[in-house]
Amino acid sequence: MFSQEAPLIIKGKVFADDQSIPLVGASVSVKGTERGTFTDSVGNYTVLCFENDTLIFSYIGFITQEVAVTESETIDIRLIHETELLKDVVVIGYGTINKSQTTGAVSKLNVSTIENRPVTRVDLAMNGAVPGITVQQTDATVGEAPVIRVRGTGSISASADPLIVIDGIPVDNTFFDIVASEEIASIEVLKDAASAAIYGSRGANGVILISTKNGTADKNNITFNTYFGSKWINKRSDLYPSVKDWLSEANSSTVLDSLGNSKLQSIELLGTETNWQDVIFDAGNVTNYSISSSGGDEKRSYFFSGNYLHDNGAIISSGFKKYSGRINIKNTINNFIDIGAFITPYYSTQEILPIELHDALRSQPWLPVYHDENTLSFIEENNVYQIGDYAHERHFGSIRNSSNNNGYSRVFEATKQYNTFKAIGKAYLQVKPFKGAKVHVSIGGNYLNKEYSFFESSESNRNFRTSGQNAVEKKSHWVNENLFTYTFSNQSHQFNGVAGFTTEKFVTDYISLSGGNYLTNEIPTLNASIITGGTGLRSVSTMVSGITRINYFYNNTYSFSLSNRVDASSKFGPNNRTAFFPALSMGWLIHKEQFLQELPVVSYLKLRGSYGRTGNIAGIGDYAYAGLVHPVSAVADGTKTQGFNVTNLTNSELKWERALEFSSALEAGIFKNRFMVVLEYYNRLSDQLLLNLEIPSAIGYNAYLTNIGKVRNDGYEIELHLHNINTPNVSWSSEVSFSSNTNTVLDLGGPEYIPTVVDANKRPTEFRAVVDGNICAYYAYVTEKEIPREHLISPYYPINVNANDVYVKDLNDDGIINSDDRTIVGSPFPDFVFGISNSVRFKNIELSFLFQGSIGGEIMNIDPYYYETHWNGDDYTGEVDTERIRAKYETDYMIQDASFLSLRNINLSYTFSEEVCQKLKIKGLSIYSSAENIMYIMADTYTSFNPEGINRFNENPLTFGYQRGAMPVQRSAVVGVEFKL
Amino acid sequence: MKQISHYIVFVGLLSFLLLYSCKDFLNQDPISEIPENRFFNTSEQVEAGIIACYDGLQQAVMHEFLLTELRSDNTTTQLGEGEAGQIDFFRESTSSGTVLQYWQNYYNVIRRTNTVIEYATEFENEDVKYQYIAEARFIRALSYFNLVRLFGEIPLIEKNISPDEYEYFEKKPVAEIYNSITGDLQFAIDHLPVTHSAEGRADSWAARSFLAKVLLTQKDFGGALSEIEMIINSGPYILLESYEDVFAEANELNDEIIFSVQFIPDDNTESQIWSAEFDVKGLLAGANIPSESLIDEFDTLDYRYDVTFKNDELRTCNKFVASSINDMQAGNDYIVMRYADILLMHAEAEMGEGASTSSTEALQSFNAVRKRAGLDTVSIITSEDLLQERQLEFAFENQRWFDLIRFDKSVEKLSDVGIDIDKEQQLYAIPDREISVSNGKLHQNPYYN
Repeated sequence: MFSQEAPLIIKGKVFADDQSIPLVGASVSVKGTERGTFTDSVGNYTVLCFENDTLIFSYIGFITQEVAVTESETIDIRLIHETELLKDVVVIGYGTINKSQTTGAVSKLNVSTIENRPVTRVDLAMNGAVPGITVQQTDATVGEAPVIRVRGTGSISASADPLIVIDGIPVDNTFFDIVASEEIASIEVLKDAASAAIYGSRGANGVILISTKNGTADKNNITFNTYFGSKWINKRSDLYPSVKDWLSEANSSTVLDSLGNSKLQSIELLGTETNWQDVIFDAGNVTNYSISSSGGDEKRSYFFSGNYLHDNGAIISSGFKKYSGRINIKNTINNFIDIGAFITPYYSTQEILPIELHDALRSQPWLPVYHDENTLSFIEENNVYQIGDYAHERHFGSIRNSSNNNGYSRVFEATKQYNTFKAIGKAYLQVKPFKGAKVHVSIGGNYLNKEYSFFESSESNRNFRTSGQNAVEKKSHWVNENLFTYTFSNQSHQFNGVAGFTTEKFVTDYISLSGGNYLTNEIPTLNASIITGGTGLRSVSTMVSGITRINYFYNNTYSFSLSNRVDASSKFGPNNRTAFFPALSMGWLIHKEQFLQELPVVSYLKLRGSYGRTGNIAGIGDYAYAGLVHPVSAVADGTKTQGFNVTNLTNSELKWERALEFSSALEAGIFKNRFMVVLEYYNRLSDQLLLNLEIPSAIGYNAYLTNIGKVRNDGYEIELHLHNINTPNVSWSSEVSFSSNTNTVLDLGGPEYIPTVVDANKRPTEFRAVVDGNICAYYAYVTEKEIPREHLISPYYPINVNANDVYVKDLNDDGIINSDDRTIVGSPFPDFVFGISNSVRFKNIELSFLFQGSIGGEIMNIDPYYYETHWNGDDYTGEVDTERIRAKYETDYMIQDASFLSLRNINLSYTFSEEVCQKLKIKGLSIYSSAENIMYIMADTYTSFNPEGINRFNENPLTFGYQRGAMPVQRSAVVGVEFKL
Repeated sequence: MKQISHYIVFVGLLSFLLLYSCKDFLNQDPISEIPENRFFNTSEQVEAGIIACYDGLQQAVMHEFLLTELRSDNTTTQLGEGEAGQIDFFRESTSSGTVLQYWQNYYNVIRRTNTVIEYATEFENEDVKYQYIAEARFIRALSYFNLVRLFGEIPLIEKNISPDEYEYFEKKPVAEIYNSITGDLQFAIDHLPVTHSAEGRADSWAARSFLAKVLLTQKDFGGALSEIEMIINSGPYILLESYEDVFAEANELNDEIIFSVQFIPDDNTESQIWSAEFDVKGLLAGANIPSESLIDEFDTLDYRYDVTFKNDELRTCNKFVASSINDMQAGNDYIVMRYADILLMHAEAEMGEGASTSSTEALQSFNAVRKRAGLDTVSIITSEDLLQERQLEFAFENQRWFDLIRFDKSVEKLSDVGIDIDKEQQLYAIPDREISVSNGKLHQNPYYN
């Protein structure tokens, strides 16, 4: 057995394929023995073996190489990355794994799709790029965070937002925009419960992991990127008729408008015409500068960047400015110890339209913005107003229809602004005590200081009322992580284990002050007001977690992953603090099996399946389990007197919401992985929901936070990666993502449905979450027919008037119309969503474009009620049977198709050749032009500006789908240049 | 395999760390609130609970006019839109948010009173104990009195209950609700001080006044009469000389006021919005505009006309004009009962089941109210006269709808203004939501079935 020959000494260095980067920790083993070593921190190895031995060089993400040795020599090895798709190392939370070994549903975003895109936030660029994820910009105000859903909505009272983890720090999605696209090394989405279970109590709605770039040894780069361009909104010509068109229609109509006739004549005489869309939508511009620098040597590496973005939106009184930066540093002290740190400060100012869009746009088209000589001569109180004063409808005696101010003054004479400072930082120490082992200790956290200021001047308010508010929200979160990782691998076994514990603390502060009766419109701050009230609140929660995970890869064919997280949170009572979140998943690389070797066309075939449990706690108050006594006040003896009130029922049994998910996928590649497909099915059951259970109000409270209720989300996802053409001069690749999710309420803890009335005081609309139906559905009368214009008492005044009501169907055929004639008439959830991206390169020119769409969802759009009725539309002639009509907002008249198809991005770039760059003494130069949403097709029945706009009540999943005055889809086009020095 | 055992030891160690050394770290007490189980131990804390009951009443009465005055023939809305318009024309849905909100607000007040009663009962100091309980029971009676008149049979909750005590979700007969109300008011009469040290909080005379109205509503005329006589003969109230002074914001808690829910101007939490809603400046842009019929009822000589209506196009309410800087934060008190009501109730009790009365006592009280209004005195009062006098005296004061029900005139009077209703519509529908969450215990009112 033991050879008598003298041992050979083999030395060398292991590099990654095309680069001069040494691979640290690559395995060098002697085939058929247990002997072997790993490369050191600069990629060197030394190994003893005997003649005719075979050395195996392997490293995660690289193709294993075997070299037979015959004498002592220096062997430098260049390990080759696995094929294009599979080369990726995937970040899975508290570690990484080779893509081929993944066992759960982890999607890795193609980072190139988010580069050089003129979006204010990186998350917006993810739209359509990953199957199973919807990124809906429910509020298109520049700088606003979109609503992100991973595989549907599973939570009702708790937040359904995914967890965002930025360089290991768990944050909420408001922090997403702290990273600029040029800083991002990778984005992974943990979609299934088994993958997300490592984040335990925060994983139920998926996890998005963002890793930023670090410097690489021997490469010092400076990258400068800038783009500028413009933004605009496509106006709707069908929103309002022009005065001219309306008058000619009225004049040619055979319907007599006895009431409105003289008013219409006066409007004609006035002769003014305003397109309020022209007034409110002002094309804006966008400017971005970013600079980053990275580099290092064998011991140290760094990356830093600075970013400035100014996007002043395409609507007056809106805009967004952002300043952000980042420093990442890493220092290798010796073979055993690494330290590193990063910090990323951010400051932004966001100006928001102070009223909702429908309020800004619904002034009559005959109303001018300002008075001039002509308008003053027309009104009776012409001595009160001067040329240049705002013109309001109420100034115009007989032709006025509204007492409100004109839309422009309401917007321009009020301000609403957020100033936000945020930061994320972390410092860590990493020790390698023995071969394959790593101990990682870190402390980090994130901080938010968001200041709100609001001022409405007397010029903006119809009753000349002034008001203002200042509020500050502060959030801090500290996290300490202690992780032990052990990696072991030989020819047929690869093992990776991680164990550790983390502690976290969250502190929230809120302070607000409001005032009114400002002394002057010139001073918008509260010192000029009379203070009417204020508050100050603070709350704290803590969490302690333990993490364990084992990944095992056998024979390069079978992978297993077993993990468990235990979380304990102060948000629950002492008996229910702790919960376990285990997960099991498996993968089988079928193409490695002998029987498939005979089918060389199949280059990759994998089957994987997973089952896991995750939890949810987000959006629940810090002391939710306790009945809380709050300070309140009343008036006694004519003066304010303080008291205390119990605001909720105690529930000491409150515990974690959980989600149980099964997920399985088949991944296949043919023709050396030129065509790859992933088919995935999942079924997620969210149960013991943290539900504000609706209880009889006779108890004294309307709801009781408890763990009741079940919601199922199941669906499938299809992912295609096609390298259609791949030659040195020409290439064309396509990516397709398709997903379909079904959302079903299974149990509401007793009641068959939860009704929620939105806007009860004014235009009440009802939503219902019904058992066996969707979490959110519209409950309304069904339109039978419209009331013809001639049945209006005043059919042509004011401009664009229509009936307030419609005839509705007697659904239960009992001869009368009452509440029982309502039914479910739609839901916001689409049948499917998809994204299709293409990238075509011809020599140095590259064109890429991404289509994204959503089909089959409905929206409850209340806008038409404002634009079309004007409150004059409920005076009918005797021919209308008022017993059989209902206000349009009570009916399915407001339900519109929310489907859309958007060309989210199109990007054309030219990269200068190396020769040119060498002449210019630079490392790289490219110029590009990029546009967002330049094509956006909406359904014919949709009548407003943004079928994705859920600007109100979107925090409540039960009323998701209510649209009123949503900000329009904004379009932009920019040109940019990128230098590398 | 050695590594695996290391690993297991490590995990074991970790669990130990987690479960035993983090307990303190995981105990986080509320900072801006106090857990209920550590409160209500001292008399000051229970007193703070009573203030919370008054705080609840402020919310409960905030939009009460939508269910009372607007429902009656007294007022209408300027634009006819929203739930206000629906309620005005008896077209509200059984899931009306306004009706639901009203129901929820009053049951929340009841919960607050039950909390005070629960904790005060454990006190040893009998003086404060019974006064606290009495004050809470007064407010509870007030709440049930409104609910039973608007909804009829309703759940009767007289202690704090939890969501699984289904048996309490059932409707209780109207008589049983009234039993509870009179019991509460009797207790309040017996244990509340004659004058409260904080003016405007419930006292024994206020409790007696409401008892009189409750008895009158139950047609116990004799019972009502004896309470009313006691109030007239020995009570602290007078009819102010000037009708205008009753409502003047500077003259609040005057000697005519028996009980009002108090507000102060320009305060985020202690001001009211209804003064603006009665005008056209509110969020609902004029939700309590007088009907033409109300305006027409007034005699041209009636002093009350100019106090009641503003001299504007819509004749909006002039009684509660806000002095506040911000008209959405008005400070006018919400008058629940005043002495003029006692006087007119006096006539009503004297009349009893009869169609008219000319008893000296009744005439004296009735004519006192008329005289102040600058009207001639009368020598006989018919039921119709009394109803009309109440309409004029209490316009915008949320009495009309209750009066119409008590006088059994709702169908007739609404028909006069062109609204045809079924008598069963005198009661509101039990909110859909309440039925849906009641575990089958709560059933809809007759008309809405």
